[in-house]
Amino acid sequence: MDMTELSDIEYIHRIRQGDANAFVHLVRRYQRMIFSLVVKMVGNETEAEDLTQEIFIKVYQSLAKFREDSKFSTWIYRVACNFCFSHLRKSRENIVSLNEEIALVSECSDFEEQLENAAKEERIQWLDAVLNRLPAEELWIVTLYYKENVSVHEISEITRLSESNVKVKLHRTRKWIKSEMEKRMTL
Amino acid sequence: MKNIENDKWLKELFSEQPEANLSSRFESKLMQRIAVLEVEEAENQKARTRKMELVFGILGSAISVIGIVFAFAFFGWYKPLASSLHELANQFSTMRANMSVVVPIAAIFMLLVADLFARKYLSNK
Repeated sequence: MDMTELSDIEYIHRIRQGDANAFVHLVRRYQRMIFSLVVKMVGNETEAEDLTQEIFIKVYQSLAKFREDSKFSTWIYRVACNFCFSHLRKSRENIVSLNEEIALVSECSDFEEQLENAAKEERIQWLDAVLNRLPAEELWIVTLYYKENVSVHEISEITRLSESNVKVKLHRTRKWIKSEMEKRMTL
Repeated sequence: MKNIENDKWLKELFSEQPEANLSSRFESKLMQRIAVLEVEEAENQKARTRKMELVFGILGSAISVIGIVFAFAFFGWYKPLASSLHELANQFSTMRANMSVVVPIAAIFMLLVADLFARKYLSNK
């Protein structure tokens, strides 16, 4: 059988039986997802690559703890999430409190139209700058949801928050991002 | 509860973000590190096994000694052993008593034989 056709669980069983080379297939399957998330979290590709290496090493060493009661993708996201949070706690500065700033948000009716009229490079730059100020948890949730298309249910399993809590956080974060983008558009 | 709606603009913003690419050496570097980890783990496993063998060996010996002492004390096995030892001691003392006669006779006999051989050797010279 072609090794690339196996499911995550089958690879995990092979690794547990001592076939360390089977891990490369899991790496190929998840490296892009984990790396793009980590890049968003740390904002630096070199640092993100090192962190992604550490995350996969951690995953390899913790495979025995994977109880197969959730999807492997959920579990690997959770490992990455914990790893990034502990890393970011040490390194991130200039983080906003959404609770304080959310009250200042005003609704702008032609926001989407203005956004479309802006240059693509500007939009990319603005979003990067805005995301860079988000607290780690909100950044993780919003990136999983909007970039990786992970469902609210799965995000709640990854972050161990309730689904309603995830929805509230998504709503508040989206509102805050919108207000920050508006500020940048009017500059 | 707040629902998630009117978020098409944010989805589009995220989709516009350029994809970051991992370096070509990422995979090989990772697998090399995992191979090193495997070797280290195997060595650690061996060391753990040796340690366990040593611990269990010492523990087994200690348990055996304790078991034998306990059996001797509890079942009274020391009695036949004691009598056996007593018999053995008697045999040794009998042997020693016999040897006190045999040894001087043997010594005199050997001296005579040595004297005989010495005389014959000197006469040939």
